[in-house]
Parts: sequence; structure tokens; C-alpha cells
Amino acid sequence: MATMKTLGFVSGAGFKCLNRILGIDLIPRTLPAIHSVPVRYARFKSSPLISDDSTQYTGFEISRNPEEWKFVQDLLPQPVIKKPSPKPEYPSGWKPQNPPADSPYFIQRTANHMLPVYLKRDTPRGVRKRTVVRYIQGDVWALEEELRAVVSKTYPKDIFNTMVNEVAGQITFRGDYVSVLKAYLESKGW
Amino acid sequence: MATRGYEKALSMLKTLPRVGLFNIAPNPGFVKPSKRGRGQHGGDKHGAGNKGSKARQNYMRTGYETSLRPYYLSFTHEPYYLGHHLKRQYPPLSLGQLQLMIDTDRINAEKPIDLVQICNTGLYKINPQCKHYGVHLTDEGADSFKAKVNIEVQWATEPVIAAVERNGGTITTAFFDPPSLFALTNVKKFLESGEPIPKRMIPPEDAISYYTDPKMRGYLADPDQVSWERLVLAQKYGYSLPKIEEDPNYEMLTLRKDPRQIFYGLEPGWVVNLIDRIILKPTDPELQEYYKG
Amino acid sequence: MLRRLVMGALRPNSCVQAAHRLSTTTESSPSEVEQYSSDGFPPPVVLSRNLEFPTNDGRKRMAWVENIDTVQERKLGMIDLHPDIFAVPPRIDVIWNNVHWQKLYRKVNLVQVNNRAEMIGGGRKPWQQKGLGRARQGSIRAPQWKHGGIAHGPRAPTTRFYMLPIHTRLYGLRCMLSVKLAQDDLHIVNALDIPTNEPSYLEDLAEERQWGPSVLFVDDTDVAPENIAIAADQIKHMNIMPVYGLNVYSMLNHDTLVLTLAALERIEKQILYFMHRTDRAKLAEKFKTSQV
Repeated sequence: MATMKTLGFVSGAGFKCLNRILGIDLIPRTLPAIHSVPVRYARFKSSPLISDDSTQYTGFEISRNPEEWKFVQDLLPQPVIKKPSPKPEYPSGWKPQNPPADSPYFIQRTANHMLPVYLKRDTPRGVRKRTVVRYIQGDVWALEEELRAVVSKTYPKDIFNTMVNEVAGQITFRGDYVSVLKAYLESKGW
Repeated sequence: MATRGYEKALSMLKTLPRVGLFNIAPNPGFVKPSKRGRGQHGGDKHGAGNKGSKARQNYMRTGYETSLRPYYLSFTHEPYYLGHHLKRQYPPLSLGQLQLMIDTDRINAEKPIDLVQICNTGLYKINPQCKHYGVHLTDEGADSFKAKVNIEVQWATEPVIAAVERNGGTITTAFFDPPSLFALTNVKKFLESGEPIPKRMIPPEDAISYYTDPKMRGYLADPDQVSWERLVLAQKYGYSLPKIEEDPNYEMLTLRKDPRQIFYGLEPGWVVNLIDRIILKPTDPELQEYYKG
Repeated sequence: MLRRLVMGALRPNSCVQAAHRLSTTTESSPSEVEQYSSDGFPPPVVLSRNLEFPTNDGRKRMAWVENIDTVQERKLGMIDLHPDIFAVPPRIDVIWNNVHWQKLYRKVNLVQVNNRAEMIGGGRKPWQQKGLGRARQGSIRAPQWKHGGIAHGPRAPTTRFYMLPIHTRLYGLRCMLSVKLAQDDLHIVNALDIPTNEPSYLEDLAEERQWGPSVLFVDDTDVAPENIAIAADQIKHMNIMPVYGLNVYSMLNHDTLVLTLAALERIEKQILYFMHRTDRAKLAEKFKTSQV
């Protein structure tokens, strides 16, 4: 019933207009039981009983103790990831972002507040590896030049290619340079 | 106007024609042609040769060495991995990862940490259907572990226990049976289902010795022996054991679950109603006896 | 409508300053604003919004809030838009992925051709195996025969259903909103109340403000005000949609997108919630048809 009414409004007011012109109510007030949509519950145990016979239930008492409810609240997960509160020290090595001023580019942290540097493989256990730096705003090419210099300084013998996707704000390195790039970007405060 | 980066693309869009259904396209090479050809030779072998594993499954079966006797068949039966699919597994979580979760506020170290808190971060993968029985806390990052926690894990080793207790924290190893694990790993779904909290079963025969061992801080071990072993471990690893009796968080650090309990503060048999924010407790003596015993 | 917005003080000057700062979404010059103020209209009010999950990269997007209760445009204020939704990389390929998915997931192919077993006849061996000098044949409905069955033909029903990963779906919405804002095709109105139910009113409105011609109105409720519902129902290229129906295809299909303030709040809240959920990894798992 409610669904039909809602649909009538959403799809346009023509139906309602017709009602007013003809002076009759075309919306049926009750739907016959045969048209009721059967509901499938996710679990057998949580589906309601067919008959609501309260004599079938065992006895129970209702508790509204706020002390007990605190334990329930501790069990429920946080709905969204919040910004980490500032702390005097971070033993894990993680640092909050402290971007340098007047940088031509900006690297946005991920939703988990980590650096967006990833290792990708062409196939799940393949040997061809790519390092991808994502979420780059501003001058991607300046960052690419900087990172190329860092990798060639650390691995002078390595021959690697880079690929810049300017529209997506991504830089791809051929090879595994995740730890080098992460260490460098962290040292710069990204 | 930005001269480089995707801001340039956005500013270019201002003067470009309107993006519509008719002028969008996928990346080059995104749409792959159908593998099966049509026409005169469409019903042929599709480049897969004639018969055999290459035509049918495109890869050889594991261990097959073309025409030689496979290595795994050249020796008699050696049952190293007999029954491996039935053994309990404990997906690892390192102390470094735990410290990172605490540093980024994904876990609150001011409250007791158990499987529920670790799963609620969304960063730890566990599936009780794959014989995963809980967390194995590993010693990677033990040197830089600085948090003072009351943690309950399902498997731990001696260096891990030392790393936690050195900071003034406490650790317990506890066993949970699969029905309890389903409730612990997705606690929101469990509480919304309106089922009574299950009671924790005792560990299987081969795990009894581990979970009653005070050296492993088993949850069935004698508490007096556990405090003795805390001193012994401190002397073995050469650190002075902080006195948790004098700690302001003494209540939190010594909070433990009953061997029949799976959630802190909530007893088995209770039903939690999240909508009305009430807890239903059974009064039937038969049920009470079942959940207590 | 404005219950979630904290109304700033009446500061016409700050609005002018905001318009100066604006680089990408300038819709009106400062002199125009002053003209409105001197004409006796109430001066524009800057509606300050507290954006959830603020960014620290200096990106800023703002948009005017307009009225639609008069044909002539009146600016009611200027609001901040979340840069993670209205200033993301304009990935046309992601938009295409979304459109492709929306076209295909509802499609069921009902074309079916008969194979050799389904054809009439063909049970008899047409001629004997040996002795005639002819090629051996077992049935007149074999696929190599004229009027024979079809081998590997289309079988019905074949569903084209598949599920795009949730983060691609979200990114498609964000891309599309960013593109609409960048191309000056996104307009924000305070409410969908218009004084008359004549369709010509909406046509005049679009003409005056250079909208459209096709316009998609989005509100956060699924019951539209009566006047606009009747008016838009008679114009095929002007449609009303609740927030939960907002999708990439419809946004592309219409030239101009008109959001109410409440719809904007709801869209931002919902997309930001999905972007920052703690169970993001679980959400991104492969879609199973059996999942609830």
C-alpha cells in the first residue's frame, strides 16, 4: 500500500491528477492477501515465529542497567574511520601528515591515514611488479622527476620505467620500490 | 588556473563540450573481444590444439611433469600433512600491526582488547568457516611495542608475552569454539540477530595442555601460578616487571572473562536488544543451569 | 530544510569576497550581487557549513544557492562543497564503466535458436553409411546441413547481470558530480517549491537561467511538492528524483542537475560515510548473489 503510493508520487503526478479530474480514488485501499510479497529472512533462527503464542516463551526479566549497557556499547564497531588524535610519540613509526609548504604537488592520505603507495602485480602471484603512487594533486610531473631521482640514487644499476597518468593523479614505477618511496615521502612529511 | 595535474583537466572541462552519454568512452583496451569466433572456422579448436589438458583446462595438473613419473609419486607414502585440513589455524597479527592500530586510534588501549576489538577495526581478516580459531599474536615489531594493554589472544609465544608484560600490560590466551567465534568476529550482526549469547565450550583435547599452561598465560591456568610465571619470565628476559597492583588502570588490566563467557560483562544466555537498549535475561531454572554448567 | 546548516550572520561583503576567491565555480560577478542588494531584495546570506572529513590540501569548491520560486534568479547565498566529492579527478573511463554496468545489469537476452536436438525430424540416418560414394551423414539436422540446427547459438534466458565494485560505483558518482560542477551544470536551490503548476513556468525558468533544456531535479524526499510534480510530469525532459535514485546514467542523460540543499547534505553525508567506513575492505569483496 505504502509502496504503491510512493511510486505514484515518484513516477509523476499524472496518476494523482487523474484522480482529481475523475473524482474517484483509483488506489485500492487494501491489497488482497494473495498479492502480499513473502519475506525471506537471512537466518532461520532470526526469522519470526508463525504464531505469536506467548505461552511458548520461557520466562525472562528485562534489564535496563546502564552499567551493563556500557559493555554492549564497547562491543559495537565505530561506523567510520576517524582522524587519529595527536599523541606525543608514535612507536609504530606512523606519522601524521605534515605537508611541506609551497610544494607544487600534494599527496592525499588514504581513508586509513596511510601513504597511498601500493605494490601491484600483473597476475596474482606473478613476478612482474609495479609500484603505484596514487591520489596526487597538482604537478604530477614534478613529483615524478623527484621520485625518479630518489629511486635511481638508491638503486644506481636499476633500469626502470615510469608512467604518469595525469588525469587520475597516479605515477607507476616498473619494479618494487614501495619501501624506498614510502621512506622518502614520509621523510618529506607527506 | 592550474597548469598541471587533474585540476587542469577539470578546468579544461569548462570550455569543452558537455559530457554526455554519447561522448564517453572506456580506456583503450578495456573492452576485450569475445574469445569464441564466429563464421566458417568459428567452431574449430580456438587455438587450443587437439585434445588433452591444454585443450580442456589450459594448464597441467599440479605435480605433472609431462611424461616423467611425478616427483610426488616416486616415493612411498609420507604423511607429513595428514589431516592438515582439519587442524586449527590462527591467522597472524604482529605486535607492530597492533601498535599501528593503537597509534591510529583504530583500537582503544584504555579498554580490554580481545578478538571483538581486533575484528572491529576492519583491518584483520578471519573466517571461522576456514578453521580459523582466532588471533596468533606474533613477535614482529616486539622491540618497538610500547603500549600498555590488557589483551586476550588465541595463540601467543614467549617473546610476545614478554613484550606485552614488559610494558606493564597483561596477556591471556583463550580458546573459543566456532559458534562463539561467529559471534565474536561479526558482533554487530550477531547482536542484531537477537540470538542468546552462546556459552563458551571447553577446548578440544589437544588444546587443553596449552590453555591450562600458566607459562602460556592460559585462561584455564591457576592465577597464582600465572603471577609466579610473570616474575620468572621477567628474570629470563631481563626486565623489571612493573607492578600492576599500583597501576591506576588496575581494574582494566585485570579484567578477565569467565571460562564460559565470550563477551566482557555479558553473560551467556542473555539476549541484547539494540533497538530498545535492553537486555533480556532468562529466569527459567533449567536454562540458567545450562548456561552456568 | 536548513536545520543542519548553521546560518551565518548577514554579511553581504563576505559573499563578495567569497566570489573573488572562487576560481572554478564563478557564476556571478561581485557587481551583480551588489545590484541585487540595492534593488531591495534581501542580501545574500553566506551559509556556512561544517564539512565532515575535512581535507588539508587547499582545494575549495563553492556554489551559489538559488531560488526557484521566481523566474528571475535570486542568489540566496553561497555554500562550501566537499572537495572529495565535487573536485575529484574527472575519470571519463570510470563514468563509462558505470553507464555500461547500468545498461547491462538489467538486461536479459531472450534470443534463442534451435540446436539439432530441438529441430523437427532428423532422427533417421539419411542414407546408409557405406556403398553410395557419398559423405557419411547421421542426421539431416546436423549443423553443417542447410536447414540444420545451430551449433553454439544464443540460448535464452542469458542474463547480462554483473555487479560493479562498490568503490567504482561511488567514484562514478563523485566523478559525475565533479564534472557537472566543472561544466557549470550543477545548481543548488533552497527548495523545490514553485508558485504554479503550469509547465510553462519551468520552461521559462530554464530559459531565463540557461539551464537544460533537460533538467534533473533531486530532492531528499520521495514525495515532491505538488506544483513541481504536476509541471514536471508534463515535460518529458524535466524529471524529479529522490536522492536514493541518483545515478550516473540519469545525470549524464540530463543537461542540468538541480539539487536542493537537503539533497546536497544527504548526498555528501552518504558518500562520505561509504568512503570512510571501517568495513571498507569487507565492502570491496566480490559480490555474491546469495549475500543479503
